Amino acid sequence: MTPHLTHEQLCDFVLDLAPHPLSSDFAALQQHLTNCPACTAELATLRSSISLFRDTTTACARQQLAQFHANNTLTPRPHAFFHPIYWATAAAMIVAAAIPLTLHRPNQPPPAPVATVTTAAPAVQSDEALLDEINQEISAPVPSPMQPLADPTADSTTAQNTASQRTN
Amino acid sequence: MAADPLIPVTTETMPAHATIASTFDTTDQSPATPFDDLATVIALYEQRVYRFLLASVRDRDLAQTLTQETFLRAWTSRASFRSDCSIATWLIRLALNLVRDHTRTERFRFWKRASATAVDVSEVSAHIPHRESSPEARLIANQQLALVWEAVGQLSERQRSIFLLRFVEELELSEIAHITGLPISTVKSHLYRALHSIRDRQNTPAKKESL
Repeated sequence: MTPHLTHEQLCDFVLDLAPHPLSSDFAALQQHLTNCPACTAELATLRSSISLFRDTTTACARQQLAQFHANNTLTPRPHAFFHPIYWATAAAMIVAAAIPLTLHRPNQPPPAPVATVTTAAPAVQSDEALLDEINQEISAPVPSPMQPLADPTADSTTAQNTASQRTN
Repeated sequence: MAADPLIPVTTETMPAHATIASTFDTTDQSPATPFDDLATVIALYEQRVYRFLLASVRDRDLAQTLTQETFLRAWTSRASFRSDCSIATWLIRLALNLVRDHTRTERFRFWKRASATAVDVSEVSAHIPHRESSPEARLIANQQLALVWEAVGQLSERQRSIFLLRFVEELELSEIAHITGLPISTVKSHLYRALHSIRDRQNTPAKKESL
Protein backbone atom coordinates (compact mmCIF):
# COMPACT_ATOMS: atom_id res chain seq x y z
CA MET A 1 0.00 0.00 0.00
CA THR A 2 1.30 3.48 -0.91
CA PRO A 3 1.96 5.94 1.91
CA HIS A 4 -0.77 8.34 2.98
CA LEU A 5 -1.55 11.38 0.92
CA THR A 6 0.58 14.38 1.69
CA HIS A 7 -1.03 17.60 2.81
CA GLU A 8 -0.51 19.13 -0.62
CA GLN A 9 -2.06 16.16 -2.39
CA LEU A 10 -5.04 16.29 -0.09
CA CYS A 11 -5.37 20.04 -0.67
CA ASP A 12 -5.16 19.54 -4.40
CA PHE A 13 -8.18 17.28 -4.21
CA VAL A 14 -10.07 19.88 -2.19
CA LEU A 15 -9.00 22.63 -4.57
CA ASP A 16 -9.86 20.57 -7.63
CA LEU A 17 -6.23 20.75 -8.62
CA ALA A 18 -5.62 17.02 -8.64
CA PRO A 19 -3.63 15.60 -11.53
CA HIS A 20 -5.38 15.08 -14.80
CA PRO A 21 -7.82 12.16 -14.54
CA LEU A 22 -6.06 10.35 -17.34
CA SER A 23 -2.59 10.66 -15.81
CA SER A 24 -0.86 7.84 -13.97
CA ASP A 25 -0.47 10.02 -10.86
CA PHE A 26 -4.20 10.48 -10.61
CA ALA A 27 -4.77 6.75 -10.92
CA ALA A 28 -2.31 6.06 -8.14
CA LEU A 29 -3.93 8.61 -5.87
CA GLN A 30 -7.38 7.28 -6.56
CA GLN A 31 -6.16 3.79 -5.89
CA HIS A 32 -4.81 4.91 -2.53
CA LEU A 33 -8.00 6.69 -1.59
CA THR A 34 -9.99 3.60 -2.42
CA ASN A 35 -7.90 1.45 -0.13
CA CYS A 36 -7.15 3.92 2.69
CA PRO A 37 -10.09 4.74 4.97
CA ALA A 38 -8.02 7.28 6.94
CA CYS A 39 -7.21 9.43 3.92
CA THR A 40 -10.74 9.05 2.59
CA ALA A 41 -12.19 10.16 5.92
CA GLU A 42 -9.76 13.06 6.16
CA LEU A 43 -10.68 14.27 2.70
CA ALA A 44 -14.39 13.86 3.34
CA THR A 45 -14.19 15.74 6.64
CA LEU A 46 -12.26 18.60 5.09
CA ARG A 47 -14.66 18.88 2.19
CA SER A 48 -17.77 18.73 4.36
CA SER A 49 -16.39 21.31 6.81
CA ILE A 50 -15.64 23.77 4.05
CA SER A 51 -18.99 23.12 2.42
CA LEU A 52 -20.74 23.66 5.73
CA PHE A 53 -18.85 26.92 6.26
CA ARG A 54 -19.84 28.17 2.82
CA ASP A 55 -23.49 27.20 3.14
CA THR A 56 -23.97 28.72 6.57
CA THR A 57 -22.14 31.91 5.66
CA THR A 58 -24.29 32.27 2.58
CA ALA A 59 -27.51 31.66 4.49
CA CYS A 60 -26.48 34.03 7.26
CA ALA A 61 -25.57 36.79 4.81
CA ARG A 62 -28.81 36.35 2.89
CA GLN A 63 -30.92 36.52 6.02
CA GLN A 64 -29.13 39.56 7.43
CA LEU A 65 -29.26 41.44 4.17
CA ALA A 66 -32.98 40.74 3.86
CA GLN A 67 -33.45 41.90 7.45
CA PHE A 68 -31.49 45.05 6.74
CA HIS A 69 -33.65 45.87 3.76
CA ALA A 70 -36.79 45.13 5.74
CA ASN A 71 -35.68 47.48 8.51
CA ASN A 72 -34.88 50.17 5.97
CA THR A 73 -38.34 49.82 4.51
CA LEU A 74 -40.01 50.08 7.90
CA THR A 75 -37.92 52.97 9.18
CA PRO A 76 -39.51 56.34 8.39
CA ARG A 77 -37.51 58.62 6.19
CA PRO A 78 -35.86 61.68 7.69
CA HIS A 79 -38.12 64.19 6.00
CA ALA A 80 -41.11 62.51 7.62
CA PHE A 81 -40.01 64.17 10.86
CA PHE A 82 -41.47 67.39 9.58
CA HIS A 83 -44.83 65.83 8.92
CA PRO A 84 -47.66 67.78 10.67
CA ILE A 85 -48.79 64.67 12.53
CA TYR A 86 -45.55 64.70 14.55
CA TRP A 87 -46.02 68.34 15.52
CA ALA A 88 -49.66 67.73 16.44
CA THR A 89 -48.65 64.79 18.62
CA ALA A 90 -45.95 66.83 20.32
CA ALA A 91 -48.36 69.68 21.01
CA ALA A 92 -50.93 67.29 22.44
CA MET A 93 -48.31 65.80 24.75
CA ILE A 94 -47.24 69.22 26.00
CA VAL A 95 -50.86 70.19 26.71
CA ALA A 96 -51.50 66.88 28.45
CA ALA A 97 -48.48 67.45 30.66
CA ALA A 98 -49.50 71.02 31.51
CA ILE A 99 -53.12 70.29 32.48
CA PRO A 100 -52.34 68.43 35.74
CA LEU A 101 -50.08 71.29 36.82
CA THR A 102 -52.77 73.91 36.35
CA LEU A 103 -55.37 71.78 38.11
CA HIS A 104 -53.09 71.10 41.03
CA ARG A 105 -52.09 74.71 41.77
CA PRO A 106 -55.34 76.05 43.55
CA ASN A 107 -55.34 73.25 46.09
CA GLN A 108 -52.02 74.26 47.51
CA PRO A 109 -52.17 76.19 50.87
CA PRO A 110 -51.18 79.84 50.50
CA PRO A 111 -48.67 80.28 53.31
CA ALA A 112 -46.67 82.89 51.52
CA PRO A 113 -49.12 85.84 51.89
CA VAL A 114 -49.60 85.15 55.63
CA ALA A 115 -45.93 85.11 56.19
CA THR A 116 -45.48 88.38 54.35
CA VAL A 117 -48.26 90.06 56.38
CA THR A 118 -46.84 89.02 59.72
CA THR A 119 -43.37 90.05 58.88
CA ALA A 120 -44.36 93.20 57.01
CA ALA A 121 -46.46 94.84 59.79
CA PRO A 122 -43.56 96.01 61.99
CA ALA A 123 -41.71 97.11 58.95
CA VAL A 124 -44.63 99.31 57.87
CA GLN A 125 -44.88 100.84 61.34
CA SER A 126 -41.21 101.64 61.49
CA ASP A 127 -41.42 103.12 58.00
CA GLU A 128 -44.30 105.38 59.06
CA ALA A 129 -42.43 106.48 62.16
CA LEU A 130 -39.41 107.28 60.08
CA LEU A 131 -41.51 109.29 57.63
CA ASP A 132 -43.12 111.22 60.52
CA GLU A 133 -39.73 112.04 61.89
CA ILE A 134 -38.57 113.21 58.50
CA ASN A 135 -41.66 115.35 58.09
CA GLN A 136 -41.05 116.96 61.45
CA GLU A 137 -37.47 117.64 60.56
CA ILE A 138 -38.49 119.21 57.26
CA SER A 139 -41.32 121.27 58.71
CA ALA A 140 -39.09 122.67 61.47
CA PRO A 141 -38.27 126.41 60.93
CA VAL A 142 -34.64 125.91 61.74
CA PRO A 143 -32.92 122.61 60.93
CA SER A 144 -31.65 120.79 63.88
CA PRO A 145 -28.01 121.24 62.95
CA MET A 146 -28.64 125.00 62.90
CA GLN A 147 -30.38 125.17 66.27
CA PRO A 148 -28.66 127.53 68.78
CA LEU A 149 -26.64 125.75 71.36
CA ALA A 150 -27.64 125.93 74.97
CA ASP A 151 -25.84 128.75 76.95
CA PRO A 152 -22.86 127.17 78.59
CA THR A 153 -22.34 130.16 80.88
CA ALA A 154 -25.62 129.73 82.70
CA ASP A 155 -24.11 127.31 85.18
CA SER A 156 -20.91 129.41 85.68
CA THR A 157 -22.83 132.62 86.78
CA THR A 158 -24.65 130.75 89.46
CA ALA A 159 -21.38 129.32 90.65
CA GLN A 160 -19.83 132.82 90.79
CA ASN A 161 -22.83 134.12 92.80
CA THR A 162 -22.40 131.46 95.43
CA ALA A 163 -18.70 132.14 95.60
CA SER A 164 -19.25 135.89 96.14
CA GLN A 165 -21.79 135.13 98.78
CA ARG A 166 -19.17 133.06 100.61
CA THR A 167 -16.63 135.83 100.44
CA ASN A 168 -19.17 138.27 101.68
CA MET B 1 -26.46 34.98 -11.76
CA ALA B 2 -30.06 35.73 -10.86
CA ALA B 3 -31.15 38.29 -8.33
CA ASP B 4 -32.11 37.05 -4.91
CA PRO B 5 -35.86 36.49 -4.90
CA LEU B 6 -35.93 37.28 -1.18
CA ILE B 7 -35.01 40.88 -1.84
CA PRO B 8 -37.23 42.55 -4.36
CA VAL B 9 -35.55 45.51 -5.94
CA THR B 10 -37.81 48.47 -5.37
CA THR B 11 -37.21 52.11 -4.61
CA GLU B 12 -37.71 51.26 -0.95
CA THR B 13 -35.32 48.32 -0.70
CA MET B 14 -32.75 49.89 -2.96
CA PRO B 15 -29.86 51.43 -1.02
CA ALA B 16 -29.41 55.15 -1.17
CA HIS B 17 -26.40 54.98 -3.43
CA ALA B 18 -28.43 53.16 -6.05
CA THR B 19 -30.03 56.41 -6.99
CA ILE B 20 -26.73 58.10 -7.68
CA ALA B 21 -27.04 57.20 -11.33
CA SER B 22 -30.21 59.20 -11.55
CA THR B 23 -28.82 62.03 -9.44
CA PHE B 24 -25.72 62.77 -11.46
CA ASP B 25 -25.65 63.79 -15.02
CA THR B 26 -25.00 60.63 -16.99
CA THR B 27 -25.00 62.28 -20.37
CA ASP B 28 -21.25 62.68 -20.49
CA GLN B 29 -19.17 61.31 -23.30
CA SER B 30 -17.47 58.49 -21.34
CA PRO B 31 -18.00 55.02 -22.80
CA ALA B 32 -20.89 53.03 -21.47
CA THR B 33 -20.15 50.51 -18.73
CA PRO B 34 -22.32 47.95 -16.97
CA PHE B 35 -22.19 50.19 -13.91
CA ASP B 36 -24.21 52.90 -15.60
CA ASP B 37 -27.23 50.88 -14.56
CA LEU B 38 -26.19 50.71 -10.96
CA ALA B 39 -29.52 49.52 -9.63
CA THR B 40 -29.31 46.38 -11.71
CA VAL B 41 -25.71 45.75 -10.68
CA ILE B 42 -26.68 46.09 -7.03
CA ALA B 43 -29.63 43.77 -7.45
CA LEU B 44 -27.40 41.16 -9.01
CA TYR B 45 -24.29 41.37 -6.88
CA GLU B 46 -25.17 42.94 -3.57
CA GLN B 47 -25.68 39.66 -1.77
CA ARG B 48 -22.43 38.26 -3.01
CA VAL B 49 -20.42 41.31 -2.04
CA TYR B 50 -22.13 41.44 1.34
CA ARG B 51 -21.40 37.77 1.96
CA PHE B 52 -17.71 38.24 1.26
CA LEU B 53 -17.53 41.32 3.47
CA LEU B 54 -19.51 39.73 6.28
CA ALA B 55 -17.21 36.71 6.30
CA SER B 56 -14.19 39.00 6.20
CA VAL B 57 -15.01 41.54 8.92
CA ARG B 58 -17.61 39.51 10.88
CA ASP B 59 -19.66 42.56 11.72
CA ARG B 60 -23.01 43.01 10.08
CA ASP B 61 -23.18 46.80 10.28
CA LEU B 62 -19.65 47.25 9.05
CA ALA B 63 -20.25 44.75 6.26
CA GLN B 64 -23.32 46.69 5.21
CA THR B 65 -21.42 49.97 5.25
CA LEU B 66 -18.57 48.52 3.22
CA THR B 67 -21.02 46.99 0.77
CA GLN B 68 -22.49 50.39 0.08
CA GLU B 69 -19.01 51.84 -0.14
CA THR B 70 -18.06 49.16 -2.65
CA PHE B 71 -20.89 50.09 -4.99
CA LEU B 72 -20.18 53.76 -4.51
CA ARG B 73 -16.57 53.21 -5.53
CA ALA B 74 -17.71 51.09 -8.45
CA TRP B 75 -19.85 53.97 -9.61
CA THR B 76 -17.24 56.68 -9.16
CA SER B 77 -14.50 54.65 -10.83
CA ARG B 78 -16.66 52.93 -13.42
CA ALA B 79 -14.69 54.55 -16.22
CA SER B 80 -11.69 52.45 -15.24
CA PHE B 81 -13.62 49.21 -15.58
CA ARG B 82 -12.26 47.11 -18.39
CA SER B 83 -13.91 43.97 -19.56
CA ASP B 84 -10.80 41.91 -18.87
CA CYS B 85 -12.55 40.54 -15.78
CA SER B 86 -16.11 39.92 -14.77
CA ILE B 87 -18.23 42.43 -12.90
CA ALA B 88 -18.24 40.18 -9.85
CA THR B 89 -14.46 39.92 -9.86
CA TRP B 90 -14.10 43.67 -10.14
CA LEU B 91 -16.56 44.29 -7.33
CA ILE B 92 -14.87 41.74 -5.07
CA ARG B 93 -11.57 43.41 -5.78
CA LEU B 94 -12.99 46.75 -4.67
CA ALA B 95 -14.47 45.12 -1.59
CA LEU B 96 -11.17 43.46 -0.74
CA ASN B 97 -9.35 46.79 -0.98
CA LEU B 98 -11.90 48.34 1.34
CA VAL B 99 -11.47 45.53 3.85
CA ARG B 100 -7.71 46.02 3.76
CA ASP B 101 -8.00 49.76 4.23
CA HIS B 102 -10.44 49.38 7.06
CA THR B 103 -9.03 46.47 9.02
CA ARG B 104 -5.55 47.90 9.21
CA THR B 105 -6.63 50.82 11.35
CA GLU B 106 -6.49 50.80 15.11
CA ARG B 107 -10.01 52.14 15.20
CA PHE B 108 -11.27 48.95 13.56
CA ARG B 109 -9.48 46.78 16.09
CA PHE B 110 -11.00 48.73 18.91
CA TRP B 111 -14.54 48.61 17.55
CA LYS B 112 -14.20 44.95 16.70
CA ARG B 113 -13.74 44.28 20.40
CA ALA B 114 -16.57 46.57 21.46
CA SER B 115 -19.02 46.09 18.62
CA ALA B 116 -22.50 44.91 19.44
CA THR B 117 -23.14 43.86 15.87
CA ALA B 118 -20.29 41.39 15.67
CA VAL B 119 -21.24 38.02 14.23
CA ASP B 120 -20.20 34.99 16.24
CA VAL B 121 -20.30 31.31 15.46
CA SER B 122 -23.51 30.67 17.37
CA GLU B 123 -25.31 33.11 15.13
CA VAL B 124 -23.94 31.48 12.02
CA SER B 125 -24.61 27.96 13.24
CA ALA B 126 -28.31 28.80 13.41
CA HIS B 127 -28.20 28.61 9.63
CA ILE B 128 -26.86 25.08 9.41
CA PRO B 129 -28.91 23.32 6.76
CA HIS B 130 -30.75 20.04 7.22
CA ARG B 131 -32.41 21.02 10.45
CA GLU B 132 -34.46 17.85 10.21
CA SER B 133 -31.37 15.72 10.77
CA SER B 134 -30.70 13.91 14.02
CA PRO B 135 -29.42 15.75 17.10
CA GLU B 136 -26.12 13.89 16.88
CA ALA B 137 -25.62 14.95 13.28
CA ARG B 138 -26.45 18.54 14.18
CA LEU B 139 -24.01 18.47 17.06
CA ILE B 140 -21.25 17.21 14.81
CA ALA B 141 -22.10 19.86 12.24
CA ASN B 142 -21.99 22.53 14.94
CA GLN B 143 -18.56 21.36 16.05
CA GLN B 144 -17.28 21.22 12.50
CA LEU B 145 -18.50 24.72 11.80
CA ALA B 146 -17.06 26.08 15.04
CA LEU B 147 -13.65 24.62 14.21
CA VAL B 148 -13.58 26.10 10.75
CA TRP B 149 -14.95 29.42 12.00
CA GLU B 150 -12.23 29.68 14.64
CA ALA B 151 -9.52 28.55 12.29
CA VAL B 152 -10.51 31.10 9.65
CA GLY B 153 -10.62 33.77 12.32
CA GLN B 154 -7.06 32.97 13.31
CA LEU B 155 -5.69 33.19 9.79
CA SER B 156 -3.72 36.19 8.70
CA GLU B 157 -5.64 38.82 6.81
CA ARG B 158 -4.26 37.77 3.45
CA GLN B 159 -4.76 34.05 4.04
CA ARG B 160 -8.31 34.63 5.21
CA SER B 161 -9.16 36.70 2.16
CA ILE B 162 -7.74 34.11 -0.19
CA PHE B 163 -9.49 31.31 1.66
CA LEU B 164 -12.84 33.12 1.44
CA LEU B 165 -12.35 33.93 -2.21
CA ARG B 166 -11.69 30.31 -3.02
CA PHE B 167 -14.06 28.44 -0.75
CA VAL B 168 -16.92 30.88 -0.20
CA GLU B 169 -16.91 32.85 -3.44
CA GLU B 170 -15.67 29.80 -5.34
CA LEU B 171 -13.36 31.79 -7.57
CA GLU B 172 -10.70 30.16 -9.69
CA LEU B 173 -7.08 30.53 -8.65
CA SER B 174 -6.42 32.75 -11.66
CA GLU B 175 -9.24 35.08 -10.61
CA ILE B 176 -7.92 35.20 -7.05
CA ALA B 177 -4.48 35.99 -8.41
CA HIS B 178 -5.98 38.78 -10.50
CA ILE B 179 -7.88 40.23 -7.52
CA THR B 180 -5.04 40.04 -5.04
CA GLY B 181 -2.26 40.85 -7.47
CA LEU B 182 -0.33 37.78 -6.35
CA PRO B 183 1.15 34.98 -8.47
CA ILE B 184 -0.91 31.82 -8.65
CA SER B 185 1.81 29.88 -6.88
CA THR B 186 1.61 32.28 -3.92
CA VAL B 187 -2.16 32.00 -3.85
CA LYS B 188 -1.79 28.23 -3.79
CA SER B 189 0.67 28.27 -0.95
CA HIS B 190 -1.61 30.55 1.07
CA LEU B 191 -4.44 28.10 0.53
CA TYR B 192 -2.26 25.19 1.61
CA ARG B 193 -1.40 26.99 4.83
CA ALA B 194 -5.00 27.94 5.49
CA LEU B 195 -6.14 24.37 5.00
CA HIS B 196 -3.30 23.19 7.19
CA SER B 197 -4.61 25.39 10.00
CA ILE B 198 -8.09 23.95 9.60
CA ARG B 199 -6.82 20.38 9.58
CA ASP B 200 -4.76 21.12 12.67
CA ARG B 201 -7.86 22.34 14.48
CA GLN B 202 -9.84 19.32 13.38
CA ASN B 203 -7.19 16.86 14.47
CA THR B 204 -6.27 18.52 17.77
CA PRO B 205 -9.33 17.29 19.74
CA ALA B 206 -8.80 13.78 18.44
CA LYS B 207 -5.18 13.85 19.58
CA LYS B 208 -6.19 15.10 23.00
CA GLU B 209 -8.75 12.35 23.36
CA SER B 210 -6.25 9.69 22.33
CA LEU B 211 -3.80 10.92 24.98
